[in-house]
Amino acid sequence: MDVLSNSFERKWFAIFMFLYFVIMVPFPFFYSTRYVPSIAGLPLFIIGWTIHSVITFIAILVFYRQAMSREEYMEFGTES
Amino acid sequence: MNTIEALIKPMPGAFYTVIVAYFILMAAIGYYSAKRTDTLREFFVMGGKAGAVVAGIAYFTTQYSMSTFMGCPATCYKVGFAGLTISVPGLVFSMIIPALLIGRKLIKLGHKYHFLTVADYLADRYESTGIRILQAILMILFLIPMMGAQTIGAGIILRTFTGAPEWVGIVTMGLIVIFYCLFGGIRGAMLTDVVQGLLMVATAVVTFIISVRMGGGFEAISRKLFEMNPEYLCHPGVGGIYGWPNYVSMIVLWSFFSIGQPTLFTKFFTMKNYKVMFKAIILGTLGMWLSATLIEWSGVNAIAFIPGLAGKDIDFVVPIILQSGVSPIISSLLIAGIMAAGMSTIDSLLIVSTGGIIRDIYQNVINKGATDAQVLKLSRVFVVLIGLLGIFFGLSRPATIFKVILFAFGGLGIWVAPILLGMYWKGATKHAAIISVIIGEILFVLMTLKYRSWALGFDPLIPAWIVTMIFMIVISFFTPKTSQETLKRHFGAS
Repeated sequence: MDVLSNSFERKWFAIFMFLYFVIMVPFPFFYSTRYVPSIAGLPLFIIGWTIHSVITFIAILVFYRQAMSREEYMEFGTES
Repeated sequence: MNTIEALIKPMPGAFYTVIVAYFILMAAIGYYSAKRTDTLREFFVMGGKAGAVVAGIAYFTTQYSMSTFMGCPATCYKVGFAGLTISVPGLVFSMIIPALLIGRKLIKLGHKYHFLTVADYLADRYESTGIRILQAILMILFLIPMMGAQTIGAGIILRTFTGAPEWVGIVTMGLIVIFYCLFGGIRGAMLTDVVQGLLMVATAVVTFIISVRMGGGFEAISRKLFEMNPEYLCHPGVGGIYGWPNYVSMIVLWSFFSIGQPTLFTKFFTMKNYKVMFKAIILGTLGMWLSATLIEWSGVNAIAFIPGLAGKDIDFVVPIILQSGVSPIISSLLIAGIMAAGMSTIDSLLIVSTGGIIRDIYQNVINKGATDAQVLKLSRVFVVLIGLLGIFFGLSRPATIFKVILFAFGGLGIWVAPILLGMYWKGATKHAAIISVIIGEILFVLMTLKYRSWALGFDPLIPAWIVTMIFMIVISFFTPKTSQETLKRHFGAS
């Protein structure tokens, strides 16, 4: 099983790659060479990183739920 | 200007009480693990039966070291909010990227063919003893300095809190880790990681709360930083370190290039099943987010109320925050959390380095007839020998903690090329893997030590790895292919 195995894997690989590369784009809410204040005077990019992390973390949770309903993920049992 | 002597208040009584109790707990876990470690597979990968809590916490505590708790907040103190670039923007990918690209395949191969080390995988995939030896030798060369770097931090802490010479901290920490790895193997290492991981998270959370309170709240801190120097609040930060190329480098370094780190790679062999892997990702990612973000942010907050630290003194910013904000017993306990970060990294390094010599070189090359019992006995001898080498490296202290770690991490990161191509391209060959890794390593060392401008502002690992990939692909077209039988074993398993 890998990122190219089937359409389910390819779809999730594309989602995570999009999230991975988008954080590298120097949007002012990710990377800023001037001070842009936001909540409590914090630089805007701190808020941008936090929101992006939360979205990615939710994507991991959804991926986990969907993967665990698939047969190939049961191969070695589901005891944790 | 503040001096470190004026800011630090030695408190040996409380510190020794807490540290001794903590070390006894670690030794007890080592003793408990020893009773359950009687086979080679148990010693190196916990029999492939690690559960979610152990696997998840062990992954993040191995990834995060003394540098995360001392070096990174110090950098943030110097640079400002841009310093959080070191780990915060890419942190959430630290486990999911390696798991997606190689994790599931490694769990399957580990269960099916009982691989214990990175070299086991590479030697089998490329049908080569040469690549096994090359990987094992390079791994040991880079992991020993990484171990030594952790002990340096222990020396600094002990000197700060008790006034004792640095070598005492370096040697004591090294010996304690040798003890619990000697008997408990990876089980001892991973179980102690759970205790250490919880302590690391607690240290980060408390340090952050104290730093916000001492700075007068977020708004007051931001205002103060703006008055001091607006560059504290934007990229590339004070000193101009975190420009865009370095921003991208940091995101890629601690996620994608984790694939080449033997200590993290082998964690997948320990996992019981895919459910454990996912739960470990969720738990490990949360642990990393909490500990790295909060401890690094604390370094930024400290600019507002501990002004004036400079040079090597900036490494003490977290101990100073803790000493200023909580009682001696609590601050000693939380400092134990920083020691824990170092110990939890050394233990995995120690087990994996031992695997490199014993499993990859001795059992597979020098003495193929050696029984598992003989190898297990010899493994314990080498845990002591390699551990002592790590201690000697720590005592020699050739560079700062962060620099040593970055260098060792980069040297191992080159291996991502043969690992990835080996998993995703049937055409990758052993000659291409060996030649390209040697070229990549030479290029990486040259760019790191002498020709930094060749890297164009990125971390030297990134251009060196790209060159490695190009060489490997090109050479593979002109060299003999791997046998169909092996390819079927590896690609049939996908």
